[in-house]
Amino acid sequence: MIRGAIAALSLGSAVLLIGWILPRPETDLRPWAFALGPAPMIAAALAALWPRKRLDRAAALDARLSFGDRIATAWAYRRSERAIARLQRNDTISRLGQREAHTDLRWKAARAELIILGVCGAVFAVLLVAPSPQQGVLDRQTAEQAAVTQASERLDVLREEAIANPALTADQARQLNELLQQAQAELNRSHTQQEATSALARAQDRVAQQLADPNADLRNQALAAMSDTLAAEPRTQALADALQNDDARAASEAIKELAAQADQLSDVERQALSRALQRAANVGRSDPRTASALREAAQALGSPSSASSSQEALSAADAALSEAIQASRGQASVSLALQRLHNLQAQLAADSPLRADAVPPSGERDSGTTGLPVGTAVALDAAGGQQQLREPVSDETRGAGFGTAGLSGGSAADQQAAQPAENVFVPGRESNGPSSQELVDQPFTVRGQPRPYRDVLSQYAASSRDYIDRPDVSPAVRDLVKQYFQSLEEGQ
Amino acid sequence: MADLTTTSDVDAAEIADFIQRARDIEAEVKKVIVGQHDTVRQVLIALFAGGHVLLEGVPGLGKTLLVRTLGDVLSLRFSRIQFTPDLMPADIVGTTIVSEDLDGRRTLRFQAGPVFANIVLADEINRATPKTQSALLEAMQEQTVSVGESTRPLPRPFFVLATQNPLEMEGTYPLPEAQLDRFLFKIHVPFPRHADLEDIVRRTIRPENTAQPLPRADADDVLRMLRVAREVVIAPHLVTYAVRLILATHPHETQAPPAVRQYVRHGASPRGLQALVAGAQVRALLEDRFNVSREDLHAVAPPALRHRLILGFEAQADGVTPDRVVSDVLSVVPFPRP
Repeated sequence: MIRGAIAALSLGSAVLLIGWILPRPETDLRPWAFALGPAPMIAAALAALWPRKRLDRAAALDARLSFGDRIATAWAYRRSERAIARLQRNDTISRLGQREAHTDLRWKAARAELIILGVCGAVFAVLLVAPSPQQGVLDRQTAEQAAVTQASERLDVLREEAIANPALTADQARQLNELLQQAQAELNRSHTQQEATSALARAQDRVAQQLADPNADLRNQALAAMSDTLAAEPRTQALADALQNDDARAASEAIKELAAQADQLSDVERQALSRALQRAANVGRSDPRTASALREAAQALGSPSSASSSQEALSAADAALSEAIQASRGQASVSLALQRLHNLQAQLAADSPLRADAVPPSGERDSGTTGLPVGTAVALDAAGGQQQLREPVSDETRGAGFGTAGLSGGSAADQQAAQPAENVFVPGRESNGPSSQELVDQPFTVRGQPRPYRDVLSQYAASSRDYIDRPDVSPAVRDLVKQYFQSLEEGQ
Repeated sequence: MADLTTTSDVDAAEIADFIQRARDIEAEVKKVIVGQHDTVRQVLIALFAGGHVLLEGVPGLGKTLLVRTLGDVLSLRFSRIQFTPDLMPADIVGTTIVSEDLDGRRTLRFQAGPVFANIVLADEINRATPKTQSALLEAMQEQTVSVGESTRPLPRPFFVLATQNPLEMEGTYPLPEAQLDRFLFKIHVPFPRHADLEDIVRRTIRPENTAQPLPRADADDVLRMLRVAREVVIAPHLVTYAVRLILATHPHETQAPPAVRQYVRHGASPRGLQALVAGAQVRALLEDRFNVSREDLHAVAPPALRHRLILGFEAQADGVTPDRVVSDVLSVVPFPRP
């Protein structure tokens, strides 16, 4: 039984020792240690009670009585009739008669076994009481798991809010819902912060690949430029405001108002309106469909054609603008969802407590364009660093423009949370950006005084040639700009 | 294993006589030999087991006196042969000579050598040439002597007690392994302790204080004692244990301890097992026991095995003795469960 107890304590200690070597919770191992302990005890009891051969028991008695193997030999030769065997048996019986069972066969534990038992008990107690050196690892794992769980909950909230955004089309909402649900499933399967971060990164990639429109930047730029241009003409001021605010309904109403007024305008006024629309179409060439519709509307207004053709052209322009605005708002929503995913990933990676929809500090952002949502407008300065694109804007468009960190179009809480971190600009929407912007010192930009483009076209062209000769401008952009000014000059 | 139920003609009286006579013989020898109790006991064990003894010790420890005293106590014919390099085999076994009878007729007659005795003391046996040493081989093993075409039996009982000096190795011929194996025991005769030396001095100064040994047995008694000793019972698991001990002296056996694997070239022969068991049987009787115990096996293992272990050069370099190897074997080999 002592050996059984030694085995039980050793087994229990081995089980507890697992918690000192591997990051296993001690609370899980202790029940096992206590559950496995009785097994060796039972085995030892069974071994002790198991019937043994009599010769074996005789030998054990010889050892305990220091009998010189008399008993075992007597038992082995119990049927022998040799004189010496009889003598040996008689001698054994005679000597056994001189012994007392209660004194000579008293149970006495071996000192070595008792010492080993004590040592095993001490080791078991130490392992049971002392905290495991793996506790730090376990705490970290628990914290990571809690962070992953929290991130999963945040992702669920993010998903519900994102798909509830009315700016998304039904198809976009469905796809975004599926992608974010897939991301959440991966997140739930994650055991470490690193796995969760990777899952979020993959989710961002999938959302960007499936939902982000590669032409969104150009469209946004076109709409912003159209808004700026149309703001210069009083009759298209309402349309400019609608474009500025990404308000498709207001834009539609403004165009309808223009259509209603078109028949009552004088030729000069119609020409002015036509030129305004033509200028807007010109500056909005990066969105070909909208620009084309505006150009046709401008031509219809400018030509002495029938009123019905003007109405049709303006109706087509209305449809194109509405679609562009809707697409822009949808992309803004997608970008917002991407931005929030990115924030979630950054916070998880930084091992910081998760904050609802918080934008990470700018220092945690990637220095390049990596990690930015697709469609983010980024301008590169001469040194290759990111800088905000400089555009001549009016006072009414304060704070609007193209930011370096993607598009922000979320709630006021989102923008407030983002405020200490980084200014995020959404085209056509007022943000908390700077109230004024530094104007590029160019001779053809005179604030508040629009001039016909024919007067400044040559200057624009020269300036653009100077700009696109810079080494950091890609050949594709260079060709596009050249073709643009070439077509303008040819049209002139 | 021997049949445990066979009957023999040894009766209880003979067994009791053995025990009593052995005690008397040992007491008589100890009257003359001062100290050396273990040596005397081991020599008696070897004699009653029917084996020959090789006594090894420095000169002056009483080896020759011990053998001579045994001859006196046992009333046996004793002869001493001083082995020298020029000793010839015929000097030991005898030779055929031409003799003339009273009628003047000349006949060939065998002149028996000193080996024709009950107890032969081969003093400093390692000083004779191997040829002469080998003359003892047949006598020791077969207890016969072949001269010419005739083979003559030696008187029974026949014991050879050889001595050799472990120090003076120059001009000696170490006994070959085959001849060593024929000795039942190789007994180390230790240097006497302080008290024993004082007793030796007292007896030297006043020789009248030295008691003369009395004869306690004759040849017939010794032969009967030899027969009785073989009857001592040994349990099967002890036979197994003895076999394990022998196997453990072989370096290639799995149960061999590390010392054996490292230092031993060849282990003990089956004769070693016989010597172990036979010696243990006699010791059991001398200990008033009628069965062999593991203590008997342990006690006789060193003299029975030490000259049967052939050690390698590494043992010589490390100063490892056969006794240390035997001790390792005894401590490592587990006692079998019956």
